[in-house]
Amino acid sequence: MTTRRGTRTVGGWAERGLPLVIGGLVTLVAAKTLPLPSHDPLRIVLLWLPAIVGALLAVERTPGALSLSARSRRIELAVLTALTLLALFHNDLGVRYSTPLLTGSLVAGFTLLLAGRVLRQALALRPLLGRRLTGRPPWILFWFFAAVYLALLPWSHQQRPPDGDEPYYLLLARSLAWDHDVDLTNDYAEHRYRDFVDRPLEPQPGDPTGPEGQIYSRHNALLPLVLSPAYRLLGPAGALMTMCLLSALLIWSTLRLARHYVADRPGEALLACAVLGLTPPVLLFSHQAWAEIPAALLLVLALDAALSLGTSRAGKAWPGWLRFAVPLLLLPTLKLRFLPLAVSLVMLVAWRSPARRRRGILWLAGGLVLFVAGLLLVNLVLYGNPLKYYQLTVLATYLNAPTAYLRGAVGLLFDCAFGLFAAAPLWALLVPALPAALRRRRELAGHVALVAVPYLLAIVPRGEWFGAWSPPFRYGVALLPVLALLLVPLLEQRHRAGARLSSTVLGLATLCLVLLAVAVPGWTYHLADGRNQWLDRLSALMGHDVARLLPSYLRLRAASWIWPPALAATLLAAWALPRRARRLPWRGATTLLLLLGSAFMWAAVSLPTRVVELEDPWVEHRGGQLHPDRWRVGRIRFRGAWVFEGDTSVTIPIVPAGRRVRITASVRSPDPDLPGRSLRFEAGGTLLATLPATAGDAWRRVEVTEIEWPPAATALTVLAAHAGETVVAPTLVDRLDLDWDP
Amino acid sequence: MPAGTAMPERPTPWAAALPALALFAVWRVLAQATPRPTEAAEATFLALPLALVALAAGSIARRRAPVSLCILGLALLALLPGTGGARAVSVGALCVLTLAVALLDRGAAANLSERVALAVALQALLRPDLLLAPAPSWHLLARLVLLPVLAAWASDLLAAERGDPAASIAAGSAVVVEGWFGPATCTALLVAALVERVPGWRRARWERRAAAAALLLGASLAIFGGAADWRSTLLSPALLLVILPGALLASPRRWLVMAALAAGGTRFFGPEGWVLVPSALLLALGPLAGHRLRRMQVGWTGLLLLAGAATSFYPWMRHRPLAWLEALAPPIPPWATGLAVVAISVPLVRARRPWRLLALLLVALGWWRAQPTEILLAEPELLNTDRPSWSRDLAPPRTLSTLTIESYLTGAASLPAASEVAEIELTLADGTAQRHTLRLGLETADRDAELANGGSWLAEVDAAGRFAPVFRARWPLGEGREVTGLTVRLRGQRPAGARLVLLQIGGAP
Repeated sequence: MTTRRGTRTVGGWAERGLPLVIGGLVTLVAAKTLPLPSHDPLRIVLLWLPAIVGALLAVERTPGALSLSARSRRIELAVLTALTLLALFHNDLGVRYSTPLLTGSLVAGFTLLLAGRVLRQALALRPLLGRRLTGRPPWILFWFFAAVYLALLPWSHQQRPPDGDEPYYLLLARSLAWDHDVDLTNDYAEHRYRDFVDRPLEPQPGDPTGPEGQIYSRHNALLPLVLSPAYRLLGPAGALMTMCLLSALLIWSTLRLARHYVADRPGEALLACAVLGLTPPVLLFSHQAWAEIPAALLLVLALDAALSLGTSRAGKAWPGWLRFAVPLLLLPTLKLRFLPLAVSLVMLVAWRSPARRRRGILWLAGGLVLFVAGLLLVNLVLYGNPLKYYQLTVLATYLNAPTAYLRGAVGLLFDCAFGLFAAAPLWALLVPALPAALRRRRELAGHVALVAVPYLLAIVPRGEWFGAWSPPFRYGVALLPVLALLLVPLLEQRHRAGARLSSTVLGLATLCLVLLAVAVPGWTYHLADGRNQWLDRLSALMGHDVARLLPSYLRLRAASWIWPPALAATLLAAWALPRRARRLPWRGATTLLLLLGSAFMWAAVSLPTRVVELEDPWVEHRGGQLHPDRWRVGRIRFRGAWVFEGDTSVTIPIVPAGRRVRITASVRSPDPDLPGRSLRFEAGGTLLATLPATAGDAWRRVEVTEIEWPPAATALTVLAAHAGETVVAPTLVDRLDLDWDP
Repeated sequence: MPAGTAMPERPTPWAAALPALALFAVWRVLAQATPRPTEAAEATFLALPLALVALAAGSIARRRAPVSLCILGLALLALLPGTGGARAVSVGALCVLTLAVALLDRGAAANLSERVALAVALQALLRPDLLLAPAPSWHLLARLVLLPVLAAWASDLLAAERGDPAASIAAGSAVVVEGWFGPATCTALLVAALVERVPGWRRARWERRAAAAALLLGASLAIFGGAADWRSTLLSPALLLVILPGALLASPRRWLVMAALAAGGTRFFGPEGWVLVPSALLLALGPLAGHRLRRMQVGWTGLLLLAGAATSFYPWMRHRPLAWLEALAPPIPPWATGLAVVAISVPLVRARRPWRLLALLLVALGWWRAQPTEILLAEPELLNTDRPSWSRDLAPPRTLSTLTIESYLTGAASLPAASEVAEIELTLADGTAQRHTLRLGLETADRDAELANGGSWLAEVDAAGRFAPVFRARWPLGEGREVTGLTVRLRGQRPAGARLVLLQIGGAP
């Protein structure tokens, strides 16, 4: 890591900024001279590379920071040179038909290099924080994180145009920047979204319309308003760069906030901020236009101001109140969903304040109520609905069953597609962090609970608790800064052997996922079907159901209930081990992670097949179609199925667990008046059973009689039987349950 | 090393081996889990070289984090969909980077066990053809293990006597011949022996030394030479001729002679000879110029070694680095070569010991016998029904005595063995033509059928980015044929979708 040679003493902005200037100039020259065609995906990476390198070198020259070891720098230089040469000449490697794979691998290599440098550099900046955290963390940390986010932006934006709600935020920002209004009618009509997406964009379902046919966005205008100046100056790239800067400001502000709780632990606070800023979800959201990062920033600013109230012994109190009130009121303005956060903050201030300040709090609470009422009124007048898009019934969260709360709460953390721990396993340290915080920093734990619980109670029972079509943990991003602070008491014990091993394993797993997410930015968006993008790829590669081994709370399975207690017990036990270790066990962690990966793949192909979801990618389909359509709005309301029609057949790889099997199929006909097609089950070339035609459009579980499984058969084929002259409807098959009799 | 910076200790063998074993497990499990035979074959094929690379890197590197990250990257590559092409490029590049990172991270001089690990890994990386569906045999074991171990030993002996850079240069130069072949290994051993590290060697009379050297070289050629790659057969004596005389002379004159010999060597070793020039020049100047140039020596050797390893995954690319080097270097006119020979001769003739004359004789012998090898087809060509032939005019005419073709066939599994696939026609300067036949299973192979049957064809990456077997056929043309043109045309009955891919054609005088 860093050497013990002491700190840097390079002085002067000019000297320190020189690498950045040179890097920028090289980038400008490269824009004209780079010998790669404009459509080459790696062109933009190589184009920005000098500027990024320059920025990181400039950060390295910060006075007071530790020097990076010469040997590590030499390795970095060698790897950077090799990767650059490969990227420059990748068209000459003779692999013309596999360019996306090759470019993805090269980008992963650059990302790995960047990750190594950023982690070492983050630790090298530790001396800048001194012995205690203050209200003015060094600004170089802001620029450091901004450089990281800006480094990821060009490739990600090129590979993955804005998706989900993003294009609508950008379109609104464009309208505000150029038309100075929120009416998007002309923007849709004149295809102005072509600035940032290459597909036709239509208003979102439920977007409010005006009396004269105006099209408005269901999203609030605060974020687009913030983005609009940069949009006007630099186009969509400017807006996204603004998001990068907001993300960097979030990390800097979190470090500033940490002084209220863990001022005596600057090193651990820096580590926690590194976890926050350099891992998903913040890393994924950092260069995308979503309301989550600004919400997290407003929460941190408001909390910081709330904790600072009354600490100033001189001067007037109103600037402090203003610093608290502004972000507080902006939270519901940004998105009404964040109102519980604002309420929590008011409650927090009320809880902490002496009696003499209660009047001010009442004023503030009253102001908040009035402000929100005003917002609702404006919505009602302009769009005919106080909640714009949602019905008032969404506020009645108390009507939800307790299981909905449980599923959403556990799913937000553990779900294999949308959960925090699945996106960045390093965040699983929150499990041992919670008891550590309760034991050592009760005030911090109490404040986090006070801020987080009301918001979570409003979010987790929702049907779309997972955040819909977005990067993972969308609805939880706003809470991440305060959750990151919970890590600080835990990190005080990081020198223990079990702590080092578990955090290194989780960190390496996170790094692997970050590499995948950066190399293939589209893999951060998942459908709500119990799987995720890389599990789908692995399932298709191996021809077996891999996803069944990981927890999902959209498609419940055994793993959904095994993983949370198993992971919690493992981590708590690991962090409880008292023995100290001198250094990070890189080799041990690598070995453990690889062996876990091997065991995972082995289990996927060895464990008996008991449930088959017919629409999964590991099932080989010939004919038929997916039901409902992949892009059906609100798809989670329907049971996913495969439609058997005509000569449809599907082949399912089977790992048998006995000689006899009882198959139960969940089927229905789409037409209430017509029976569905009968189905034939075959294995090893012999007919096992025939499922007669089913009638009625309600889902039914139909049991096929117990059958003898052919000894050497490893696949089950399900075919739509010929209907002959009879008029029949297709048959929808949701899943097969296989009950083996050994 | 800066004061206060503690160099981490060497890893224990188990600590280095465990991540490698785990990496092997990942790839093997994936190979067993993959239902498609081609992907399974490729994963099986890649598992061993990757594990050996991880083992070598883990043994050499002092800092754990960089190599651990590289090993994780090698495991992640297993998840890339598809086979061949991009994956092979990525795997090859990451293997090379892993070794480079480990070598750069090496704090102190390597010991014998580290050299053995590195040599075995390089052998697996440079000779991947040995590892596709290998039939267990002593021959294979000797090539995969014995030769690199001997080479590592030779390198270690050299390092002890002449310092690390010299050993690296020798090892690196041997690697130019695409892995450790018998002659190259024995040459390295000879060089090591001649620098007086083998017990008893120092006291032996020069006749005995020469006899032992000839015996060693002859035995190695007899054992390994027949099956060796045609370029390696040429280059191994080249290595001998370049390094041997130099090693016998006293420093610093030895290095100057080696440099001159290397320059002269380019005359008859073709483009490959250029690779030896920078090595020898750096070797020559290193002891004179001190520490900084020694670093350059190590850097160059590393580049040479790693470029060799990287290009081993793309057979059609092997000539390119050499061609680039050749393009960069000015052509050597005959008078300069003559001058070099005179320059070489002066110190040799003035030498006191008579065996130095033997070296001169060997140089002369090499000059007379050896001729440059020429790549006649560098980029892959695809022949099918729409494009049934490929031809090239050779002007000026080339004098060739052997012709080598690397090719494979797809979509022809239904053809019976020994079916005629293509005809190679050589147009000679006297207006006549010489024809040879490319037959299925003898001179070329069907990719799909061989993979499905677990055949032992050489496995490489094809032009379309897929994992595919390559077959290398060689025909003797007769002594010194003047060839003016070359045509390859499809022949015989083939299935409609059959395609013949010509990867590389080379001719040796």
